[in-house]
Amino acid sequence: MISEQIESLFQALKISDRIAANDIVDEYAIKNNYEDALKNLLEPALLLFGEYWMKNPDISLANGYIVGKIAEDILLKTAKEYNKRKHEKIHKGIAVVGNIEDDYHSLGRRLVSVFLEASGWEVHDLGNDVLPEEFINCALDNGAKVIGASAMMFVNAKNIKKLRDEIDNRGYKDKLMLAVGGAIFNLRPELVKTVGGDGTALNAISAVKLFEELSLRSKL
Amino acid sequence: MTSFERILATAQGAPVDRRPFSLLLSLYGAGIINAPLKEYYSNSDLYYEGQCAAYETFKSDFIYAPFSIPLLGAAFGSELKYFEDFPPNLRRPVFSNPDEILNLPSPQAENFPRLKYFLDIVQKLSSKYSNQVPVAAITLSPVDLPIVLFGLDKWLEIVLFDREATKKVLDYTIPFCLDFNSSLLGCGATFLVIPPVFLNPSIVTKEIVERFLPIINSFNSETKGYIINHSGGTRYLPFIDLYKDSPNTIAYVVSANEDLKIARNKLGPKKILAGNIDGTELINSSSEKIYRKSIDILDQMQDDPYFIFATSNADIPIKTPIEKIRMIKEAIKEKGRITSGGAKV
Repeated sequence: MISEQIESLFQALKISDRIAANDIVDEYAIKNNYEDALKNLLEPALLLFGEYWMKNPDISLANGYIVGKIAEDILLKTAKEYNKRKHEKIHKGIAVVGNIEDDYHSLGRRLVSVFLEASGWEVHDLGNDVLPEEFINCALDNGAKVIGASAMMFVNAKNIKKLRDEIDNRGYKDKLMLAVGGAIFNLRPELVKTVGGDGTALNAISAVKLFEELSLRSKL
Repeated sequence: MTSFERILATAQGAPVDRRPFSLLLSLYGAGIINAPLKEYYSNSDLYYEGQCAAYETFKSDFIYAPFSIPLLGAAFGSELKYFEDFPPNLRRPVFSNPDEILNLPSPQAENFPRLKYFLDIVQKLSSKYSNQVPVAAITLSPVDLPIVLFGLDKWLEIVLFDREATKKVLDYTIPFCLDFNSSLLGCGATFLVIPPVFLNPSIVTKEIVERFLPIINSFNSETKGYIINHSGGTRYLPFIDLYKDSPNTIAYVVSANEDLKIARNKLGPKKILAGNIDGTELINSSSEKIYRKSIDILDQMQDDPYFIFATSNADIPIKTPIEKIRMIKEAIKEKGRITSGGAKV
C-alpha cells in the first residue's frame, strides 16, 4: 500500500502537481500523522524524484521549485503537528548554508534548505552575500559539520575560495566540510576543485546525500 | 561591403564578401579605454568611447549597446553590485510584492531617467556608424523583464502560483517594453537583442513558454523593428523551435555548447543563425585553440549563407589578451568564404 502511495506521490512530483501531491500526503496523514508522512512517504518520493532528476538534467528550475514548494507544504504541516504534540525534532545533522559573498541568486540555496529540512537536518540558512567568517562562526556556534556555499555565476564562485582558505587557516580542514553548488558548478565541474570544495551535487535533492556523506567524512 | 550591407545581405541569403562575425565587446570596451566599470556602466559618453575603441580594434560586424540586464532592473530601483572586472549584478530586486508595480509611474521609458543611459548610447553609436555598422540594443520581453524587478525566485513563484498577479505585472511590463523598444529604435538601433532570461529551458518548462508564447508573439509583432533572439548563455536549443516563427525575429544566437546543425534543422534554412564560440572562455583558451575552434565552426557552416560567426554566451572578459580575440579575425580571413547559397568570395 505504502509503495503505491509513494509511487503516486512521485508521479505528482514529476508533473509538478502541487494539489495532487498535497492530497496524497494529507490522506496518509489523516490515517497516521505528518511526521510519519514525511518519513515514510515524502522522503522516499523525493529520493525517487532526485534519481529521476539526475537522469533527466533537462528538468527545469520550475519543476524543482514546485517540488520544493510541495516539500515546504508538508514541512509546514509537520511543524504544526510538532507544535501541537510538543515533540522534539530528531536531527540527522546540522548544516549551515548561504550564498557566497556577492552572490544574490537564492533560489537554489533555498531549495537545498527545504530538502535538507525535509530529510531531518537542522539548517541554518544565512541568506545571500555571506562572508567566510560568518559561515564559519555560525557553523561553530551551532555544532554544524557541513557548510554549503552556493554561487550561480563564475565571478562569484571564485569567492568560495576565500571560505576554503578561512576554514583551513582556522584549522578546520577535514572538520568543517565544504559543499559547493549552483549553476556554474554544473556547467564547469572543474571549478569545485578550483575553489576548494569538498564536494558538489547536481541538484538540490541530491545535495542531501552529499551533506550526509560529508558529515560522515568530517573529523569534527 | 560595409558591415551593414554584409548583415542585411546575410539576412536575405544574398552574396557577401566574407562571413560576417560578431564579437560581444560590451564589457571589453571599458578595458581598452581603462574606464572604471561603475562609471562605464553609468556614463554614456564613456561607454560610447569604449565601443568606438573596441570597433576600431576589431572591426566586428555589430556594435552592442550595454549587454547588462541588471542595469534595466536598476532603472526601476533594483540595487546593483559593481565589480572590478565584470558587468554589474543584481544585488536586491526593487519589488517583493506584485502590487508594488502599481506604484510605478506610467509605463513610458522617459519616466525612468536611468534608461537615458541606454538611449543616449544607441543615439551616439548609431549617429557615428549610421549605415556602416549595425547597432544592437539589448532589451527584454515583458515576460522576462520582471526577473530584474522581483528576482528570479519571486517571479517564478508568481508565474507558477498566481495568475492574477502575473497578469497585473504583465499589464505594466507589456506597454513599458513596447515603449522602450520603440525608443531604442527611434534612437537608431538597427536590431533589438532580446535574451529569454526567464523563458528558457533551464528555468521553465515548455508548457510555461507555450502559455506565454501568444503574449511574446503579439509583443514582437507590435515591435516595429528587427529582433535578435539571443540565448544569453543559457540552454536554448530545446525551445528554439517555439521561437522560430516569432514575428520580426530574424536571428537566433545559440549557446556555445549547442550544436549549430541541430539548431539549423530546428530553425529551417532561411533564418539567421549565429554563434558559437564561447566568448567568456576566450581568456582561458590558447590562441591556437581559439583559431582551430573558429576554423572548425567556419568549416562546419561553410555552406550556410544565413550563418553569422559570433561569440556566444555573455561578454568577452575584460582581461582577455587582444591577440586571442584577433585569432577569430584571422580565422575569418582564412575560412570566411561561403561556398553555396549567395556564394561569392
